[in-house]
Amino acid sequence: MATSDEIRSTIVGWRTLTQQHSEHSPRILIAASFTAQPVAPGLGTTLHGSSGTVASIEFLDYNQLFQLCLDPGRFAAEEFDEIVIMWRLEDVFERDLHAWGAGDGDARNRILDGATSLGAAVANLATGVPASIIVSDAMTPIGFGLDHHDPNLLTELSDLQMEANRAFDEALGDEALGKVKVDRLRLAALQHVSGTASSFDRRSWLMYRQPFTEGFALMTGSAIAEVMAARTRTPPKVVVLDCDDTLWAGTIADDGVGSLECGDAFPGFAFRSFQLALGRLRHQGVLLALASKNEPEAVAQAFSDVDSMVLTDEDIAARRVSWDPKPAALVELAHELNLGLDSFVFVDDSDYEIGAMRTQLPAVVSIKVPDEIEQLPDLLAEAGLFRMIRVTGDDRLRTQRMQVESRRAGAATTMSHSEFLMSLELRVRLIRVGPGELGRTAQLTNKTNQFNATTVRRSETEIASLLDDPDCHVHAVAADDRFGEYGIIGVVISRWVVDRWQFDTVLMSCRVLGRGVETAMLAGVVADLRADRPGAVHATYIDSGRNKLVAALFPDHGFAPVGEDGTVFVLAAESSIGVPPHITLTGP
Amino acid sequence: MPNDRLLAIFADGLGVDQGTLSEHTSPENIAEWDSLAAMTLVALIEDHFEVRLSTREIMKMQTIGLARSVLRDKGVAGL
Repeated sequence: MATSDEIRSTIVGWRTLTQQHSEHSPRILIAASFTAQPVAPGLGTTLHGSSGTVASIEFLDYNQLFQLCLDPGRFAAEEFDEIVIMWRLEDVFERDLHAWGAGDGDARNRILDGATSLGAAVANLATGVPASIIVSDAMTPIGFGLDHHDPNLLTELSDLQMEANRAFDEALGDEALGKVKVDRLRLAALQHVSGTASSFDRRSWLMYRQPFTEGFALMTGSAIAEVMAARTRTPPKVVVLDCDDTLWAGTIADDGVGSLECGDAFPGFAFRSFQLALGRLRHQGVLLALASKNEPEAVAQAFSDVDSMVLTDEDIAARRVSWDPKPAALVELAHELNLGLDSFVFVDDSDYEIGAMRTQLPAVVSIKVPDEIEQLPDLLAEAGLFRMIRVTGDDRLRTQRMQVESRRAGAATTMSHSEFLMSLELRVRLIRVGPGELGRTAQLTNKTNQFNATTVRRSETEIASLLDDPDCHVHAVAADDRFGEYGIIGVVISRWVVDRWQFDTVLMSCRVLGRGVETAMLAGVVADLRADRPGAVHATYIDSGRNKLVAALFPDHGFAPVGEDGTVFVLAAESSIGVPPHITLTGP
Repeated sequence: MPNDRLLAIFADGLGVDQGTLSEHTSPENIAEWDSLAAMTLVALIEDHFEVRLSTREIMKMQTIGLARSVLRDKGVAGL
């Protein structure tokens, strides 16, 4: 917590800054269940420090939360850029909290119902005003003679607090949370860090309904500003790691792989703990990469042989292990991962490398492994770079996807396109769709827009009924190459009409574009259809406005146009389609 | 009293020019002296004079003059 002098200078500094309001200042409305004015200096100065703007911070009288949420127009809430809502159980549900303490069995439910109502009210506000909303959680209640040295009472209070927060969250709804508009201010965590009792100013509470010590108010204000900044701040996306004396104790060249330490005994334990922290970041969607001056085989061997390694090859999205300068390696990594250098963090134990990086690539955040190695596990946590990242399921898959894409892209740059295609070892498998493929087949007919000749949408049931029709064929194709498996990526539905085959549906996922998969697909399907009944194959292109990609598909594969409008094509009975030389076609 | 430390603190805490203040200035006759300013003033006074005020003492400080006498009673010199 800030010292008394720091608190003073922040308050005085903010008072000076507030003289600089202009009509363009962002307007922030703070509504709290208590007197919240002391958060203004921390909020205002932190915002000023990070963005240079002097916000106009206004306050509602305390405990007008429901009124604001349910009737925002009355408070001209639509005029604000940001609305901050802070609430405490002991303010909003004061009477019920005391009744709960006095043994009223229903009081707990009334509090939880109330928290639900408040959550719903905030959701209502969020949908009703253009402002971005920041809402706090409830802290552990204090004051009113609650004995914060009684472990039993503390446990009961924190149970109640957690249940109330859950009820509030559920009512606020995932939908509201998912929107950028509602962000969370984790007051309970701040209170936990500061200490429940030492963040509470009982004199100020009793005299002004202002429960925070000056230090805690300052902290809360800064935390609000951080939530606002986190919204637009791009957190680093990649941590590039040196290996020797960064991921493990020891150096490969000097000590040999067998002597590297990353186990449960010091100093290895510090490195192992650091790797655990890196593993958590990777789980949050941060990419891990290596920049190590070593022989690639030696680093690979270390990853597989060093005892108790946490990180595996699978965790590393890209790597540059060579004797080349590290700034050049990072430029290459940025290119390979298709990310800006300003989204890179670089960790190394060498002053030389850190210095080189800082001078040559100042956009990269370069962090040196501390000399006191016990500080290593907390190195990135204390740098604060990854706080308040929102994690989505897609983020979690990012490393895997990037690994495969970067292997593909890496291969593509070092040889000609045809050499690249040959090197892909691309295999396309033709499948006669059965019950096992129905789900994916229906999904593709419903989701594929661009590479889709007719854009006929079909449900699983509709496709299942086609399977029973002797005049119908439903084909799917799956593909894989040496970099990975794509799964089922194409569908062709064909029907025998009188004396010829007619394509009803021809579609392919754009993931495999530019690799000749569509040619192999058409070749395989035409051959399989003719194994059933020989004949010409008719195809139709229906312009959906989004499928220009396939306008030339049929003429490109030897189909001749029928009529003038370029929508109907025919592949003569004696014509067939060749499989590209770089593709191995199998099945059905 | 141009070098009056207490007036300087009140001017600072209320965000007004020292010349607008007198011993009779109170929340009743200056708009800036609201509850937020009251909180700030208490903190400034405590910091500057290195004292701790009780709620009873804060309640007595209804004017700048009364604040001065409370502080004198607490043994603050030079007021």
